[in-house]
Amino acid sequence: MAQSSKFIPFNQLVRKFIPDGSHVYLEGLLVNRLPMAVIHELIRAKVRNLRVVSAPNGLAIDQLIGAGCVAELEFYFLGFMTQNGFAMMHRFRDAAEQGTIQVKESMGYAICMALRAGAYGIPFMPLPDFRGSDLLSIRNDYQIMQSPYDPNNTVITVPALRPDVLILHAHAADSRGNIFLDEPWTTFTLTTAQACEKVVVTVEDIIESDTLDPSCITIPHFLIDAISQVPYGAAPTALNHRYEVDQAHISVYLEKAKTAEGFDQYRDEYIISCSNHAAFMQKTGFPPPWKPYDSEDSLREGDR
Amino acid sequence: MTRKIVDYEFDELILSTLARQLQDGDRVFTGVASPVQMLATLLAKATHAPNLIYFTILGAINPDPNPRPFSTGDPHLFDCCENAITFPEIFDLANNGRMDVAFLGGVQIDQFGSLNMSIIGKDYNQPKVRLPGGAGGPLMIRTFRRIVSWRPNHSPRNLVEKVPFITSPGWIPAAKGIRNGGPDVIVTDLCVFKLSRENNRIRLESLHRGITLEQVKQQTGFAFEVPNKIPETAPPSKKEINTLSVLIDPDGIRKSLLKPPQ
Repeated sequence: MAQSSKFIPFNQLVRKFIPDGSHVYLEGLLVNRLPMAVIHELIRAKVRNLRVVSAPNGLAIDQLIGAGCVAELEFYFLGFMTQNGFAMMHRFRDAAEQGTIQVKESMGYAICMALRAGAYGIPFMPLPDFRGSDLLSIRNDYQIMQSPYDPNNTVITVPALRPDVLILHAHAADSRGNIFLDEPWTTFTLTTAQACEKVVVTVEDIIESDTLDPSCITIPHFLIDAISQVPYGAAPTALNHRYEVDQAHISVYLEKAKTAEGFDQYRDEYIISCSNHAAFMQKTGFPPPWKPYDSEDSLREGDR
Repeated sequence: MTRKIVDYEFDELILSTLARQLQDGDRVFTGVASPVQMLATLLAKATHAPNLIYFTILGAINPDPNPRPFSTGDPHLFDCCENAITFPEIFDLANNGRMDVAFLGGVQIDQFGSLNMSIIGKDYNQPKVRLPGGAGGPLMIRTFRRIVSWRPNHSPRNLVEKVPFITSPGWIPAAKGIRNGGPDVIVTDLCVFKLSRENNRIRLESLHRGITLEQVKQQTGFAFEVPNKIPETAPPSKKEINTLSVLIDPDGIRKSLLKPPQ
């Protein structure tokens, strides 16, 4: 079967689908499956004034903020653990302290419920009462409401989130454009895709249609707008069953990004001077190959 | 030969103290940046709480990763789990009273058990220090039955009288109709505090080996109740120490995660 017209060259993905001022949602968590190839391309394309909603994917956000791509950030946690301790996101921190980006702080469940509302096509979602948190004083859009069914039950409402674009890196697409994530439970990724106006995806592999078990399809092709094949598109973060976190390169980044000048050096050396993600891979070396878990090994340990 | 009292390291004491906060059958959640809490949960499950159900932020249920990852977002947690669930579904379960224990930390914790993970300073929009954010804490602190906090670097800067910003609310004095939240236990590198949801007081539960009451008072920014006789934090058992080094953390990542004070 011929490939769907949704497959486009990577250098067109950002330029066509993520213009200045886009409201974007970034998939990935901590050190797992961040869409790093797209992040670097946004920086190369000098995209400006992004409004970003984010899962806790600090590495991606920190780079976008450092490169001046972000006007507004909605988030609930930024940072992650490495073997050297907690990695603080200095570009985010400096920007928030200097007030150069607009910070919309939230919490994980509130963003998830707002995405559910967006996916379900309803204007808002109620959450259990969390009055007492000062988040309610900085988020005027979060309202306190009495349940219409039980006057003793107070809920907090969050307005639906309907970002312009979901940015996602996945394991594979079939030639129709169905997307496959090789993780054990991915239904919320589908919910997020439904909440967003458009979905753009980078994938490791493109496979024949009708070779995916339909129950393994994470996002059906009709919700997808653009796909580009970008091997190692999540590196230096990990991708389940494919490659490990590139701790060494992340350490390089964290050290450089402590200062604005250091970040600029990193940006020039590793992002701008690399014309695409393949060039970035050439420069940094491939991430460590996936080390499969050996259950036999663990049992032996237990018997010792 | 004389029988020796079990000797132990600081990291073993902290992990066993955290593990002992968990009971058999508990449904336990660890969030972002929580490798210490992960090791403690795995230790509890391998010793006194075999029926504990462990939920990670990635959604992996009862993972048994080998080697142990530093990040609770490492996809190896998927590779060795019994089952999985999505992140918001963990909150859904808690809303219906189906979750027992969450490990929640605060860069600052105050006398009301409120956690600050947002800002230090007076102006929220131009803070002196921007902190990483409270993750799921603001609601979890109310919807989980019990909250356990691990607070390393015990100091008056992070155990404060009143946090400048309440990210996750403890108990709120003078607020009517709002359920009390807050940690039930705060384990620091010096001592264990217990918080009572009944009388809203923080009490010193035990001092770690070699730590004095004076030290804790000097290093704590809030007042706390002191029992007549202050016990020493119970040492880890031989079984716990052995389980840690053989089964839970043979690579010894705990040594870099948990360093004794000073």
